[in-house]
Amino acid sequence: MRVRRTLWAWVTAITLIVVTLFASLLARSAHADGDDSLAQVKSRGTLRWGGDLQGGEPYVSQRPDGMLVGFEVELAQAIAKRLGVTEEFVQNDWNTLAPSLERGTFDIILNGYEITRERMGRILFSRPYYVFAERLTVRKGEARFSANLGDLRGCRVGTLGTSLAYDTLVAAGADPVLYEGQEEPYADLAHGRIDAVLLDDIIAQRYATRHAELATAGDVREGVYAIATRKTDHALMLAIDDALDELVWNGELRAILARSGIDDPREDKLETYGHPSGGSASIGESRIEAYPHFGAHHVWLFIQGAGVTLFVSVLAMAVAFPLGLLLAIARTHGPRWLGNLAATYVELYRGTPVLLQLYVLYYGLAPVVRMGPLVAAIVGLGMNYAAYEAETHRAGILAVPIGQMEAARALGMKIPLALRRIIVPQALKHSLPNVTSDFIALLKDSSLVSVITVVELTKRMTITSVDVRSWLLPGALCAAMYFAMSFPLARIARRLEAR
Amino acid sequence: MTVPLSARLVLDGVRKRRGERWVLDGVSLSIAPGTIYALLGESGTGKSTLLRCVTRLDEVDEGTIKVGGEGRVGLVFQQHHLFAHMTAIENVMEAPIHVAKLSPADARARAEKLLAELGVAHRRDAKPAELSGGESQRVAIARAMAMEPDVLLLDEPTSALDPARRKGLTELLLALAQGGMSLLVATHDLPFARDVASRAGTLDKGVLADVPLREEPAPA
Repeated sequence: MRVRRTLWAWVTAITLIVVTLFASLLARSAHADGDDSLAQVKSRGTLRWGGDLQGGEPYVSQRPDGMLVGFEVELAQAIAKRLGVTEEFVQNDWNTLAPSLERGTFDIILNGYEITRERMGRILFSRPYYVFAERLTVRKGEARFSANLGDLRGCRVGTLGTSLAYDTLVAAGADPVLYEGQEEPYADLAHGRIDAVLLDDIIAQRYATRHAELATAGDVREGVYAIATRKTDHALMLAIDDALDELVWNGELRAILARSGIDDPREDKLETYGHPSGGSASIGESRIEAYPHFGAHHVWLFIQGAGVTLFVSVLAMAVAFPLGLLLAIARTHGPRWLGNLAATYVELYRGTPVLLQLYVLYYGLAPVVRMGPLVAAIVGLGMNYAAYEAETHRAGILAVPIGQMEAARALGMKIPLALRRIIVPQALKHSLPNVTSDFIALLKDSSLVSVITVVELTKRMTITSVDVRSWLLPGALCAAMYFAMSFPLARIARRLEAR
Repeated sequence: MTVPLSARLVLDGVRKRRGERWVLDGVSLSIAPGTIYALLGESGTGKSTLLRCVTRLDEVDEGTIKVGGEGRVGLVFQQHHLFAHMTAIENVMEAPIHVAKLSPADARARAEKLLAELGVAHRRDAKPAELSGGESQRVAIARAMAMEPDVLLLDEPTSALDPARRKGLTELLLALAQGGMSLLVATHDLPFARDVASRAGTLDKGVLADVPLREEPAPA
């Protein structure tokens, strides 16, 4: 029976992986049919452009009245006009813009997307529409940093995932700390959680300047933003390049930049930069570049990620279990006011998203309590899961017959002693299988702590997937690792239940 | 606290309300050392409530309850309520160790002695679920006795016993009384009460009325 169950679990897992592979092959072959990319856009009448509103000003952001604003909105409108169509914005997480482009969610990426060697192997880039600098921001009075990448070796430097700045930091031997939005790295730098921030100058201008204690160390390199299409969509790319060409030469592009306050002398170079395949300037790399394949090195990184996942989950449960027990006791045997307090805690934590709780704990409370990301992850998840453990323990306590407490009291035991010796040991027998199930859920929920810069298994998977241009192997390995951690626990839970 | 009493247990005008109803409505009673009092009556007449009040599981609304000697009361529940996660001997040792603060060795010696006296020493390592009704009751009596009570209360002790075991229980309770223990036994079993008790009473609308146990000799 046990053998059959194990077998069944593996068959399910393998089937899932095979179906995923097959589906992706189908998706790929669909893209491979002839290049009618431009014709499709024209017949549809809309050019769908992907970006992330979380990127905010000055790229593309939403006004309170719902209207989209930003220099990229104007640029999209100008290009669409030249193609004889209208533009339509498609919201997409910035880290997954390339995979979403490939699977056809939109026609182009237009969102501060830097031309990098790695990306050029995967997608087509237009001629640049903006020249920016990677700007290093530090705390005021810290003289150890200059605008020199060598200074950053071994330092914790905040940036955005899958960005040129990230690649730059990795190459410089720094320890990149990845954020989901632009505001958070500067806030963390101001709070002393990281040593520096490396991000595009127009981001630094908007977000670093809000913190009086931060200063610019300097610009370390230049980069360019360009529009991207799928690798097969040459016709569409040609049309976009033509449109951009016109906008560059008739001065309309510079006017758009000026309206957003980001035009500067550096933009003169836009005229000299051509299409990346044209071999002009420093970005004119060959279009097809080798990119890292998924290999043993990645597997090791995944194992480390799984280690972080396990570490965070185990310690979070070590917080949640006793705290939950105290909450449950407060509700079942405490004075009324304490019981109400515990009930409020439980409802508050169960009634709000754990993601929000993590944000509040890590960023919101930063001026008051300064926790490192790992500590915040453990405390945040632990306090959240304590609410669930409280309910699990409460059910366990209520399952102990009332006579047990009465017998203890009749023998002269006070309530705390009776709880410790008589009630809780029996309650745990009831609740332990459920606690084990909760731990499996916690193991998976721990992926949420990547929002506070902890690189655990899922985050490692998303980073690697972008690196190696594939979600299949990393995804399957990631799934297998979660499965390897949770399946034995599920069996333990079943065995506990059978007892 | 030592209460100087000639009687071991004295109830004086005890009243206890459950909702709108006075379950105990002025109960007075005294039990001398070494005697057994049978509290008769069908279920729902307030017998268990009276036992709970004496054990202080429930508070009385009016009146007083005084226990002589060291003031200690032991209660054997009708369902015994042995601690389900502990063996028989652990059940008996639990309160002496954690309440009376005996050393584990002393508590074990006391428990072994009680289990032997009650004839269940061979079941010392059994869990409550593995014990028969009679065994379970004897372990529960041993558990109560281990705290050396001045008064032992038993709630419906014959409810789950076959005739042979009932006889054994009768002998056991008489032996306890012989040793100086005062017992208050709630039961609806009149023949059993006749066998063990020296006095008996019944609760009627919360008031205790004497019940003659032995037929008065017919007037000649």
